[in-house]
Amino acid sequence: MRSGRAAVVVLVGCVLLYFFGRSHAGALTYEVSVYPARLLVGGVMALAAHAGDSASGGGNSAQQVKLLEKENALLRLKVAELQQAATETESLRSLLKAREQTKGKTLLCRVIGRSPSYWFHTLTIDAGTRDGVDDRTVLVDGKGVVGRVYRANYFTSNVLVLSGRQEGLFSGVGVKVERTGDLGVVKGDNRRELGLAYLQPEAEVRPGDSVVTSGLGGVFPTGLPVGTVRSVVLDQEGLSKSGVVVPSADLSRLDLLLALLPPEKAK
Amino acid sequence: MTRRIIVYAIVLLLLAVIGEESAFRITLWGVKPDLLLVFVVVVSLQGGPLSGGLSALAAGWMQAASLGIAVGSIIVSKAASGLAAAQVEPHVVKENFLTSAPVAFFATWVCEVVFFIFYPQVWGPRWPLQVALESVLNALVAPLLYLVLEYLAPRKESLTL
Repeated sequence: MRSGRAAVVVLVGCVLLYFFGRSHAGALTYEVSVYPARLLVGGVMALAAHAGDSASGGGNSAQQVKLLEKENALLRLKVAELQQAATETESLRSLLKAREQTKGKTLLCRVIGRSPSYWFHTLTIDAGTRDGVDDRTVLVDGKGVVGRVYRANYFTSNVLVLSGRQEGLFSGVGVKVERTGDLGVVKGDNRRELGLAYLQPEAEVRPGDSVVTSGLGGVFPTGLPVGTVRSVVLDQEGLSKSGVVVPSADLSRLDLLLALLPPEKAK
Repeated sequence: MTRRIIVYAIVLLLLAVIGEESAFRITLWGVKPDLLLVFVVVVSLQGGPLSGGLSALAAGWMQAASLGIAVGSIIVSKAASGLAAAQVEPHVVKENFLTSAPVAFFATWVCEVVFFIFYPQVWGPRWPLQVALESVLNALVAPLLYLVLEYLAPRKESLTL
């Protein structure tokens, strides 16, 4: 009896939530409701990171040792802060370089979340439609293409990472092999490496060749680094070549990113 | 009752964010525990079918809204796992926190199989292995969450004959 009532409630709830979950109102409700939790978890994690960095061993009871340990802990904390600052500076420097090479308007943003489900290679960034981001926005880091926005909310946006496979959202990136000019398509398959497909059978592509965006398709600008060819083989039918590309961007360690805004949306 | 609802809501929000946050960027062979699913299992065991069903809806919506992909499939799979856990609830010694481990293991398979039926694109050669590993991870996390929720919102069940 109890189970039957629960099943009816759940069934009706599923239908209602399906429509609500797909709407912009649903996305905004989610953004607003998790915002305090984001602040709290972010703060706790920052504190934990500092505590971990400043932790030091030793169980000596001598006063001087204690003082030195305290000083050591403070210095470790300082070093950790400086290392963090250096990493960020390095990251910003490479993003600045990428920005100089980009013609359109750009926006610096930070990764604030990753997909809660391991079936999807997605990110959440702290920029949304209020910042000019829309579903044509491309994300790069200092080394290369990271992915593109597939849903822009008001405060945040969801990004499909290059390595993600998502039918209906991301059919691949049109690429060009820099050395030979051969055209192909890079596709993610929910793995760390990317698949390279639709190369002409006579393409003289070899391991180590750099792959950049071709600009075909209209979403990704021309010339953005995508990765390096690891291997190429002729398909069984002999009609095309395919291969494996190692992405230029370290897709497992993303923090600061540069959003390449569509021209008319740029603020 | 009100306290339990508030506690559940806060824990759900925190788990949703922790699931997205950097601590869980670390995965084991590409797999990480589904904290929202574990939450649904624990609430189903502690609160019965209706609580389980409602928490499953809330958790499913949270995950679906966070991703914006496969919205219906995520909601339905979470709801199915909540109902499955609630079906088990009368037949197990739910007062023992360790009971949540095998239930979480079972509910994970229900959730992933239903998700696969509605969203077959997730299929790959590693699918069974990934789901098995996730089931184990969820089973490990479930008793901990059970204890946390039991501490924050203890059950006050009357004994009826």
